[in-house]
Amino acid sequence: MSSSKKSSDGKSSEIEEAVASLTMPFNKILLTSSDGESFEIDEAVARKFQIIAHMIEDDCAGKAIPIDNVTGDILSKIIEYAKKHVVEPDEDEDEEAKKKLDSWDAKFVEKLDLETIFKIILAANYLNFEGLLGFASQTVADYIKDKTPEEVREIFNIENDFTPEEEEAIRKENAWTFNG
Amino acid sequence: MDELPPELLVKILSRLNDSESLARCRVASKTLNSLSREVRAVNLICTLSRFLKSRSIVVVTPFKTIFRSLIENSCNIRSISIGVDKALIGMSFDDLNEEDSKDLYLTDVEFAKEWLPRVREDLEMLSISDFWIQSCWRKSDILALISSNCSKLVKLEVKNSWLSVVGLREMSNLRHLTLEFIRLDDENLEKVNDCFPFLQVLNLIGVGGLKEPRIHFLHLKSCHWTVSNAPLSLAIVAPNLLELKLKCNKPKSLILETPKLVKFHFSVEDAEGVGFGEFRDLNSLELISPDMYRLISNIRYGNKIRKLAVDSVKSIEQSERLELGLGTLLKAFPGISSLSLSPRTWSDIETHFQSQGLGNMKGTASLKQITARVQMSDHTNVHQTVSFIRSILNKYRGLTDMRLMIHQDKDPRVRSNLISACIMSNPGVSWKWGMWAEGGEDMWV
Repeated sequence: MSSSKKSSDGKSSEIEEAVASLTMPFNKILLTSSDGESFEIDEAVARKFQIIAHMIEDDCAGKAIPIDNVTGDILSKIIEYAKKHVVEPDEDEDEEAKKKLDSWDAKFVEKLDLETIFKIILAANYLNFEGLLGFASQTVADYIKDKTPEEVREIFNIENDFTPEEEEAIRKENAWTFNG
Repeated sequence: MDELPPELLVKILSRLNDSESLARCRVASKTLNSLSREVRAVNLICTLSRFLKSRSIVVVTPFKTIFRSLIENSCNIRSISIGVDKALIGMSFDDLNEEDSKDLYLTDVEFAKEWLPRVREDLEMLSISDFWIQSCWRKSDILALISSNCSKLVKLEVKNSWLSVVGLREMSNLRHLTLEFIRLDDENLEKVNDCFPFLQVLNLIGVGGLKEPRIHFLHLKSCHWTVSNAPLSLAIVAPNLLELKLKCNKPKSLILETPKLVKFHFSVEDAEGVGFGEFRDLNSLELISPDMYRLISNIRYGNKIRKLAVDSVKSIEQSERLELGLGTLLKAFPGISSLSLSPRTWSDIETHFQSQGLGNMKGTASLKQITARVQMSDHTNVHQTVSFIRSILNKYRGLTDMRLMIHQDKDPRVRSNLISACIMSNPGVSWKWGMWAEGGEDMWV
């Protein structure tokens, strides 16, 4: 990742990176989104993203890491979630903390529109951030749970690609979901 | 809008946890239709509305027919959950036809033979919540069928049924077993012990037909057992058990050989027949019993307990009330750092304090936190309670975290008087206040 320097002034960004690693406080990692936004986070938070954790293990994480596939607005949301979930409370040990965190999670996702959640799913998948990927996927699943096929199409922005005959056949096959 | 790649769509569809919702997605597009086949789970519940419609003149597809077709349309199924909505359990049925019907008799072996062999290859999780009205008259051999077909099964859950263990074979991959509201013809649980040798989690909730049940598993880590008064004796021998929740009544004999237990939740009416082996690592203990004094004075729980919760349930005898004070509790459990008290227990120890004070023993330094549902009778005045609390805080100097809930019906003025008096007289303490109600959830403010 660090080797693919897109900018024409490749040399100066190398220097930037070197300077960054010298001046960065220990245990901090700098992530840069595809549109140039930078985020300085603790190593513990960065480790929630498995691809970065692997890089750290393999000792090839510079202190500054470009995240090519994720824009700044999405990356900032993901980091916000990761910071809150650095330490997952044990359900038995600290019931209260778990409840508080669940409530924070609910508020976090309430404010987001579906398009953003889809982008978060794609980014969490890319970064290999299992916790957020699972949570965001569950959120979408909960959303489509009681929706009609028409509403599901709208949500996923997909075309109805059945021919009228095919559609009738498939509706018939699944008629029980409509008569329950 | 970004399009999600197929594997992520499958992830989302898998989280629907409901085959009905999944089926609606299939009608949306060809892609979703084919991806839905990759969801390796079938979850079907007969809802109250579907049930009512099936009993009316409205035409609905029979429940078992739907289930069978779901199985036929999926491949490599890993997890199956079939059941009857909880709402149906509470209903009363005067109609005798209901008992004769079999349309919702889900542990019916003849029904299971129609789909179980098809999924035997990959099935890891099976849950069946039967319809008691139809299942309680008919003894089912489904356990034998499951054991001879599903060698990969890891988790099995059966509820509301009459089960036979005849023909049950060993299931060496089973790690979780839950039997809830079951009538079982395995009097002493011998077959269960023999056939699930690698079990790690066992839940027996309201399992009837037991005589001298003995739970004996080498690898068991967690157990939840709710048992009636019918059995003559109870025994749990589990050398690696870490967590136990046990609820019984007046066992004539209860033997526990669980040396590695870390967390124990024990509810019992009368503890006379109780005999426990050594507890080397017990850290968290919850006792619910009117026979509290015997429980804490006659039984050794080891000296590693840090977290204790006590509920004496009923009003104890006048004679014993004079025995059960805060000092008694802390003497029996000297190392605890957190103590949780039910309303009954709070009022018992407050009464004990009124007549005997806190005793002369040095206060233990380890106690840091008390959580309690405060019970104040109408004639307890706030001043008494405040002075009780203040004495406790004075004696137990490590106590800096007080979390008290006051009954929600208490006069708000009394509540605020209590709160402000406590805070003012004990400023060094961290206070958390809330409200409690019988059968309701605790609310923290």
